Amino acid sequence: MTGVPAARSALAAAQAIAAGELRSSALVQRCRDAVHEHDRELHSFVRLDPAAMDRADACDREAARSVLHGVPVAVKDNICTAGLETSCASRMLEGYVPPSDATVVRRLRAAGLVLLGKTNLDELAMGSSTEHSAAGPTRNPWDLRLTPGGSSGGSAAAVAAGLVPLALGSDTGGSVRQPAAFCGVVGLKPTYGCLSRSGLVAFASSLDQIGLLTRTVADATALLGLLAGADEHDATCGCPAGWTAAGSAGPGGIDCRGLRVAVPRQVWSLIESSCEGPLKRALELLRGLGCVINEVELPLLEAAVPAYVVLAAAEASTNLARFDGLRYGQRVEVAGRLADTVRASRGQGFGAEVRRRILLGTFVLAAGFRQAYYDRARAAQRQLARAIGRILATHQVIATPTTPGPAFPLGSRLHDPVAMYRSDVLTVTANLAGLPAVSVPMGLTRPVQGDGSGETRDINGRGALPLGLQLMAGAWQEQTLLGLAAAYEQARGPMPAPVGAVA
Amino acid sequence: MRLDGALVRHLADLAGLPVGDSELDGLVAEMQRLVSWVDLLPAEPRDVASGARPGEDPEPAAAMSLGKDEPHACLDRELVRQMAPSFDDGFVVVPCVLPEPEPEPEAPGPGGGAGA
Repeated sequence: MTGVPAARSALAAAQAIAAGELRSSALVQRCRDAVHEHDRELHSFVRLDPAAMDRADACDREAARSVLHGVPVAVKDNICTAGLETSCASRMLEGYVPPSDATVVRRLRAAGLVLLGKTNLDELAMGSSTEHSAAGPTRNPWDLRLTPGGSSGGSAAAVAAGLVPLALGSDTGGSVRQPAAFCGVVGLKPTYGCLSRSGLVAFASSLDQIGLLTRTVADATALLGLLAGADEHDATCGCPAGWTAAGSAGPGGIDCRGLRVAVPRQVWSLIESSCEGPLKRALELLRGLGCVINEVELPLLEAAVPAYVVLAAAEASTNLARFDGLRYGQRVEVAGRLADTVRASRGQGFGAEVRRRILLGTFVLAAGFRQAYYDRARAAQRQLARAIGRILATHQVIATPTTPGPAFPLGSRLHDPVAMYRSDVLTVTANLAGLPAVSVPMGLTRPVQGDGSGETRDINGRGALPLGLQLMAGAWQEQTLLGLAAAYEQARGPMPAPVGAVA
Repeated sequence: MRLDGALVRHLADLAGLPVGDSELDGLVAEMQRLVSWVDLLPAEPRDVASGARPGEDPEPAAAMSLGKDEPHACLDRELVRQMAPSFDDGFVVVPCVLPEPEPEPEAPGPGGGAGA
């Protein structure tokens, strides 16, 4: 990929539009051109919205409706968009055109943002590499031989490559934060219930949460402020009275002096050696901001992924029962019994990873096995949530790397589901406990060439890969979480962009 | 927990998924690996600090914001109409799933041979 380095944040673009220095239509056209030019090899988008230019023109004619007015945004293809196909990267839903927008999309439009297109994902959001897609895999803009992570890999890759400044994803076990870390962008999973799930095609309803992918923490904060809030179409959605995404702090974040940050001791044995140096430097930066860093015990951390896999599979097997070719989804007509039509439709409609999870979910819920697996996983979930609650009773934030290591090669874990699932070991805890967490770029796997200080601030990160710092806070503590993330981001300094990213 | 072909085939039947004879052995091995890994879950997890058993623990601490316990209007009728593939006289029209029933045979007349 060749082009110009990415620089402009969504807020900066919106300010330029508001000041008359940039037209929304020009920005949207530039993004569309960049997709046409660069996305052939990246494959982060599955389709562009043909109405985008008309909407951008309309934005140029009207008064600003929000702080992000006129800015293009990409939406993961498991979030419904009226009149624009939403296939969830599944043959089962190929050609499905929703009659109405998801609540978050409706709010995006109401705030004057322009839907640029839909991004690739692991089929029905089940995966950690964006390889399990009926549309084919997405590649990592830092190195096209690597995965961008998943399942929101298309959204993360598109933002990292500079094809679009903002994107929505969904996060059931880390599907926003893990690709954000692998691609060197910001990924936010808000508190469960903060963003409406109405119009999000369900995977595991008790864990699913729509999340945001952006270039800066300030962009994520601004976008969250536009999308959060109660929705009559999602009974689990609603923020406490007085809740706001952003406090009075400026873009540089909050005053971190005295903020207590916990680091689970177990983390050090779970991460790869390439992650240790960047994590130590990140903790030093936090200490330099005035945070008090404490090592704590987080028992059962290693049980988090098996618990997550059991619970998510159980919910997926029930949620996906509706895709039978009769009520929803592609139908494969088979002469004979109705059950044969259902089996043929589901057999041809679902890919291998989805079938695997449905089968596992059916197993853990089956009579005779439920107590041994599902109930045990629920118990582990409660234990873990309790342990996190105890830590957060004395600390404002828990800090870990987002992932045990950097992005892995395409195909390397495709046939080893356990290895694939394990890559979510540090992200699933926030979903199991329903807590907000953000991944902020924390540097590269090794110092870039010519940087004798060991810092990772230089442009040109060829050969080195991004890593993410995950910050997790108590329920509805987004203000503290994002304030600390912004302060860290400023202290860290500019992150290199992948070579060839476009503005 | 040991899985075998019969159990995996039964699970696939429950899940409405086809399993061909040629893929059964591979699927059993794959499921066996997954289930063995999931078996790493603590047998009877106890709270490290308090020693409490799972049943004694409350729900996860992430307090959801609870809505008021009052009825809400159901989905907007116009939205339902738009979402339905076909809408007729106030009803959503769905595709015919089951074949039309065979017409009942006419009742035999008096003295007719029922066993014919």
